Amino acid sequence: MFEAHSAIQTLLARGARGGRDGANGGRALRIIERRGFTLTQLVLHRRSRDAGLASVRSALGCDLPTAVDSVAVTGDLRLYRTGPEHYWVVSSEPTTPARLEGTLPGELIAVTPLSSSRVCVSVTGAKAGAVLATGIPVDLHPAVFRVGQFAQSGLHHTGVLLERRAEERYDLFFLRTFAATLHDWLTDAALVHGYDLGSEAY
Amino acid sequence: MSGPGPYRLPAGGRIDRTRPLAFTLEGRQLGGYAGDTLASALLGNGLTLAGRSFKYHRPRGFIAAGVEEPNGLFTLGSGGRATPNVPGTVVELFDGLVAARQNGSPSVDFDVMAVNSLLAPVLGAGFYYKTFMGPRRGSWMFYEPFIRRAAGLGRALHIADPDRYETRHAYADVLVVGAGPAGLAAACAAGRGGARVVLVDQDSEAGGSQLGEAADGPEEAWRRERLAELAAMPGVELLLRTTAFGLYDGNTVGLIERRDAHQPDPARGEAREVLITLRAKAIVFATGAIERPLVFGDNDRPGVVLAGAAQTYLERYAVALGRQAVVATNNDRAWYSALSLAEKGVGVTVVEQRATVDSQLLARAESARVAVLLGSRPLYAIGARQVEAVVVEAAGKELRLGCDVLGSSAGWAPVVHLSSHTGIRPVYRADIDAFVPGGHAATHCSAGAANGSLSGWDAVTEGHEAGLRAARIAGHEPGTRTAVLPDSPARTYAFETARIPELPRRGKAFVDFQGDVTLKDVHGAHQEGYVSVEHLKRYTTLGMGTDQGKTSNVNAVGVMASLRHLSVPEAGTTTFRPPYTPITVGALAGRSVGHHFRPIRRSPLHDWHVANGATMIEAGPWLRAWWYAWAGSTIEKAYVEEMRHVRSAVGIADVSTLGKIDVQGPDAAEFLNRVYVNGFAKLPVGKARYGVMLNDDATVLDDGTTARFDDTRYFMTTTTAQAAEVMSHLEFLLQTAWPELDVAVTSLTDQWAGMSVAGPRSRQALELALPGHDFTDAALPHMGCRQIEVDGIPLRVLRLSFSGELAYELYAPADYGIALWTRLLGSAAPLGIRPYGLESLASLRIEKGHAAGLELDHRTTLDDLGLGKMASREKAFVGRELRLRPALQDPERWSLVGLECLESGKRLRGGSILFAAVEPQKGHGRGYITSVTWSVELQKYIALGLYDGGLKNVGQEVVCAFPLKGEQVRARVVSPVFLDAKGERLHV
Amino acid sequence: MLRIPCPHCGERDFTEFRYAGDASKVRPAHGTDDLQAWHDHVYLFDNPKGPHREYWQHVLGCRQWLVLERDTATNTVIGSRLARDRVRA
Repeated sequence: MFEAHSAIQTLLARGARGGRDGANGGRALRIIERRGFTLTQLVLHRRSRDAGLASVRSALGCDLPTAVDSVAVTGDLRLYRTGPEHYWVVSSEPTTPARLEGTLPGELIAVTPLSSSRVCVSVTGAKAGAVLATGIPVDLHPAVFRVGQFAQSGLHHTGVLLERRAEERYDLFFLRTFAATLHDWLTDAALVHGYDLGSEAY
Repeated sequence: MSGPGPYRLPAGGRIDRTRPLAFTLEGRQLGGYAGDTLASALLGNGLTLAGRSFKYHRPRGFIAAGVEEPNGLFTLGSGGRATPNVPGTVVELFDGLVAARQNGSPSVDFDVMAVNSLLAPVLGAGFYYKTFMGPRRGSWMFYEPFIRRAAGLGRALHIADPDRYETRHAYADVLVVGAGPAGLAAACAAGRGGARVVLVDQDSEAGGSQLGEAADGPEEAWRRERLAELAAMPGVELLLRTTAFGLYDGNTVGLIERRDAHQPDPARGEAREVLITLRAKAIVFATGAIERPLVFGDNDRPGVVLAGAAQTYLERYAVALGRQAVVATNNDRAWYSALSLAEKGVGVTVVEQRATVDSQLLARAESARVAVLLGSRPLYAIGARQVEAVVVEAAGKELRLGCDVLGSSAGWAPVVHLSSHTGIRPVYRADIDAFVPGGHAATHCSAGAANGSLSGWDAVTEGHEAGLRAARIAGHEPGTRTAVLPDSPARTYAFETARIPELPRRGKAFVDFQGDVTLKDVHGAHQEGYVSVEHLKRYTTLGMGTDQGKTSNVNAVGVMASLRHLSVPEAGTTTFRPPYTPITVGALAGRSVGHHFRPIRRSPLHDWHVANGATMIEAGPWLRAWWYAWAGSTIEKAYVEEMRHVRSAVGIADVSTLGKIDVQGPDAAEFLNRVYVNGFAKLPVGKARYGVMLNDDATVLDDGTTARFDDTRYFMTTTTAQAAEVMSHLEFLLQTAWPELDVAVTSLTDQWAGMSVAGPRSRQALELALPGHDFTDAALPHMGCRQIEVDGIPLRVLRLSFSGELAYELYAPADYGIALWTRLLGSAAPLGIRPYGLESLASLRIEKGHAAGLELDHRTTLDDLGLGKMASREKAFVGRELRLRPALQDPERWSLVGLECLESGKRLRGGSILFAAVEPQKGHGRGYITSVTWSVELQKYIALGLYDGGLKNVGQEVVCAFPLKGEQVRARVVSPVFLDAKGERLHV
Repeated sequence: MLRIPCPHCGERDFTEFRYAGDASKVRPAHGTDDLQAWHDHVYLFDNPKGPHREYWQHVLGCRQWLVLERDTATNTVIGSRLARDRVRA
């Protein structure tokens, strides 16, 4: 059987005592890799947009989101509208990409499995927003970037998708080939606060 | 202390006497208090000599108490932390601070360079253009090293800085710059409506000008009330020790917050400075005003200060600058300074230019026993290391007044820098002989002294109005309450423009202290024709120091205007540019230093390479396996061994870095047909095709292959270097040129790991590793492609070759890249399979004449690379028309050739310039070498290159010249396909 | 610090975008067999002081190409729309 290898598992294994204490001696943040999610991109072909939407509705059992900045959650599925006709379907159910490829008609929708292309890292703690604000140029004020919202922006010269999962938890989707360098950047940004590292199920 | 000069008062001020601090000056231990600056602490210890001047090395003292200080520049700290040229007036004293004065040799106290003063006649403005020009041409280069060594103030370091610098992105509804009376009023007004307000001040305490007033009393009460009000508003953030250094487009302000005083420990992640990029919906500039000195003879003697500074040292730091003061002025504000000195026991004489002054001020002066001379002005100061007296002109007579401190004031100039940064030039107001903001963008306004409002409590009312307006611009409704004014009498600001100074009878009259620019220099510039303010500035260096002329520019413009018989606005002012005060490069770099300088991309197979003897190399943004230890102990040996192994057995290389693009949609075939020069419309399912893409201007953008896995799904690969460019190019065409095509393109570079299995035994390797799948020539012919499933994982197999051997590219989802790689290595071990790296990967293709990055340099065309036959004649493609420009079809263009080295024992080098062997080597040559490798099969160095006339020259001898190493090597022009011209190895 | 309104994502820092030049010209239709028309399109463009329409791509965001109208003298952003929605002459 083929075994999966995460882009940052070596980095995490090497992390001293699973993290580092901050300037005040404690560890205010948790920086955790979230493994085991599936990601499938859907792009509706413009000519047949309505038919495409209907097709997705019957395959997923829900509508694709219209809002461009909030995540639509249905059961195990988390749906993001990442472009005018572009959507991410994130799920912890491993058969989701194959199911979507199998049931959505290619003439209406371009289905692209992208589960390996991203690494998900969550940053949790009272200082999570402050740490991310050292590198991500969108307004992360809690009243502006509310729970359930997401944004595609830049971090350290690369594109990331940032989602506010909870009051004090932000999930970041990094491009896989940048994941190690971004994780490194993140732990450096978090140094003063102290952090725990780890890997958990999505 | 009872001698002349500064001393600490036993009580008063805002310093905290319960917290004494120790610091060192050039190794000497001194004491101060929390709340002191380095300047106030030194003065409190009776030390007046703050440095030596730039050219003449004259002894200098502090003239100011703030950022405008031109003289007292210090080097702080030691080792990698040493920071030169810091004004002592802005340094917050902390325990253990280390400081040294600058520009004295061997020391500031005893400076041999003071001899420069004797050379004054030859060191005037522009001296390097005039004095050191002879006796011969080129003499300047003899003098230059001496002058260079003598120039400058502080010394720059050549050792690493251990400190951390952080960055932060911030947003606000309202930004208020300056926490003086106007700023505090503005922030309170804006914050009341719930707006997100950021209030910044460069000082360590909020209060601005009020910090120089009595530390008790109604004004202080007002200040504390405003601060309490702000602290109670959760949407208000007060940032102290934070300078707004620049205003930029998009209502963005650059801020730097300094944390030196907290003694940050970089090992614990604590930053010394934080660069904050703040985007605001509305901005209030409450930046205050700066006082200017009068210009008279020897006005640079230690003890000659700004009148307001004398007051600030007294009221804020409890340091009296002397016992006998003269205050020379033209405006009411200096009178308040004089009264404040007198109230604390300093003997004061006011030398007032105006003939009449407000009777209330005169009355107060009389009851405070301040002597007054009206209609009078200073002529020259007397003293060397400390002022002793000033000679003034009063009622037509000359009078000598003894003093150990001389405060002068020519008026207050609004700080208009920040509001002018985006190009709105300030305008002149004759009534205050100063420049005020010349206008504002719709979302900006100025308030208080920054706006030229220098009298009464206008600052508070204006600040209040500005805050209300800013909150409304940001979409909040702050209500209509009126401003709360301090419960103390407003101060007047009657003013008369200072008389233009005349060349002094005695001594030098300094206009710009830091640049050592005198009144005589300004006259000289005028005489020599450098009359515009831009020329005056650059010719004399006036206003070009670290203080950027904060105390000198307006005085200089006044003098030049008078010399030219113009009004001040006609003479003009120079442009204000960021930063307002000096900022460190460290703050701008932030954490983007060392290995955080730029992101590094890693292949999904990275961890395996590192654990298995690969030497890694940076290739663009990627870290790639360059060569493997199994093949040799050096790169030179290893890459050759890896090449030999691929051609004789089988090797496996990581090609995950190639760009990979998913192309899907009803119009995918048509789209590919338009972007490639060759035909793709009829590419069958299960086949891959090599293609070349051109830019609109017909230079080659990229080459790669596109495979068709099913009806509407294509898999495109690009070169590693061009992946991002090609992706944007495809998106550009779809979204701007051909929006009618229904095609979705998605980057797959991160989704798939790729590996090339190459060599005569490659098919057998696949059969051993992936049993149960048919890899025979019939099932998977050359350029065929197939998606298979192994252990539930989808794999893509393409039969393509970059090396010219039988070869396959295998792709697995990146999570399973290492799993597939190790399975191939394990299962095919009996065949001798070995990994090969970037160097050999890039060299094998040279033997086959495949163009790669070094040949695809955005100047070469399809025809230059010998690929002209690929261009379809049946269909249009991007670049088709401009490809046929006469210049690009010229047969004499430099085009692709092969070269073989004719001299054994010598090597060919990439970048070598090619000359025909029969011609003399003159000029730019006839071409150059692009790629070089040792050929195992031919046992010689071979190369690809571009040569005048290309393959017409096959058989001719050339010389490859590499002037940087003085090498010349003979070579012969040959076909770029060095091996297996018929491609037999591919078709087994 | 230009702030660019992405029609899909909203206003963002210019650092999330890449700039790609003049958008005020009309690209010749694919297959236009006119060397002069292609030459003029690729090499000739005005450089106005004042309002100008130009291409930007939101590379670190939604990856959409947009046409931004910006005053080149004051750097004021006037407006933007998705490039593919642009009315074509």
